Amino acid sequence: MEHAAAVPATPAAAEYEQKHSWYKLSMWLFLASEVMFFAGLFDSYVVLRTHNPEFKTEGQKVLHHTMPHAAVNTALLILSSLTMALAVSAAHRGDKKLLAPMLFCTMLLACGFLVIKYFEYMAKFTHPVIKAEMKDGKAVITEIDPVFKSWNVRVGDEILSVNGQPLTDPKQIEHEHLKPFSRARIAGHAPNGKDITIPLGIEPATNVFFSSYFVMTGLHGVHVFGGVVALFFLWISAMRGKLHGRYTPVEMTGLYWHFVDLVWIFLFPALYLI
Amino acid sequence: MSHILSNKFYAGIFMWLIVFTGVTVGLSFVPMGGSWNIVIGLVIATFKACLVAAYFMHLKYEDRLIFACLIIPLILLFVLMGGLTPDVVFSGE
Repeated sequence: MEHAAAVPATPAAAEYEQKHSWYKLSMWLFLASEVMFFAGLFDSYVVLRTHNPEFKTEGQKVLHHTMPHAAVNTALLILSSLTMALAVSAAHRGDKKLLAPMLFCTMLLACGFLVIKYFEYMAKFTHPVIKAEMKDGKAVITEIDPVFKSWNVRVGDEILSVNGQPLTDPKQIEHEHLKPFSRARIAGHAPNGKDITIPLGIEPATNVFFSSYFVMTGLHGVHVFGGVVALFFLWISAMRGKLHGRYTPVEMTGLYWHFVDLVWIFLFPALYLI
Repeated sequence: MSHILSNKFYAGIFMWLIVFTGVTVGLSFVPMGGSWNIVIGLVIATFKACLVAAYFMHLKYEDRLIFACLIIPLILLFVLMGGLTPDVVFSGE
């Protein structure tokens, strides 16, 4: 492949650039497949949102509570893209002093993203969704969070058990809410008659919106984590001086990292804002 | 590599990205009649994505083949979404 300018100095340099061009094309092809991967998820979100008005009312309204977390995460990822671009630039210029610190900063910012994401998820998993009272020796629901709008659960339904244990003290439900992925068994309505198991917290099983939300942000988070692993090994190589004269690994990791940032740039408004 | 951008230039792009993130968040609080919020939000997001792709990922200075690698799947994506739209909108419930 030909470049627009800068004739390579030696035949060895020309050969390196030739190889680098092939690596670059391969990386862009991989990113193209990743675009299709996330595009499928985005499209499913659009289709589900068209048919579920609860997405805005019982979904995004609840999500709004952690919108500041996500906004900070957006800033962190954009900053990490800057440090990554600076690292790639340093690798090209042979700037040994800037390369390792920039790679480390990128990795640190990515870990910050994952830490904030962890707190965001935990806040949702332990969010109280029902309130209970004892009436005639039975635990009865007095309040239900609107996220359960499409579920067949109503105020006044009896709570048969929580995480397998019968509810004897209504205060117990607050305690159980603090355990992520807790379940409550609610007595069913006639004529259906079947008992229902509801999640005690906002999690993928809660409603269609949160199912989409956790899958999309979760898979993105897995990509971020993969990037952290790659950045870690790249940083180690830079610290050991093994990247001297080799800018290909840094640039390829950079392309992947910018892509991860790009996906989040779309995820954040799509899920939290619009 | 045919073109090396200055660190200051990268910092400039970063500032614009942060500014537009702030604009997106701010505008989300301004009710503009449902659909317009979505359109404006996506337009700003697309612009930010173009900045990242063109300058951070150097797409502006790459071969046209690389640009084709990106644009052809995107065209396919819109064709597929467009093709599904009649089925989704008129799902006959």
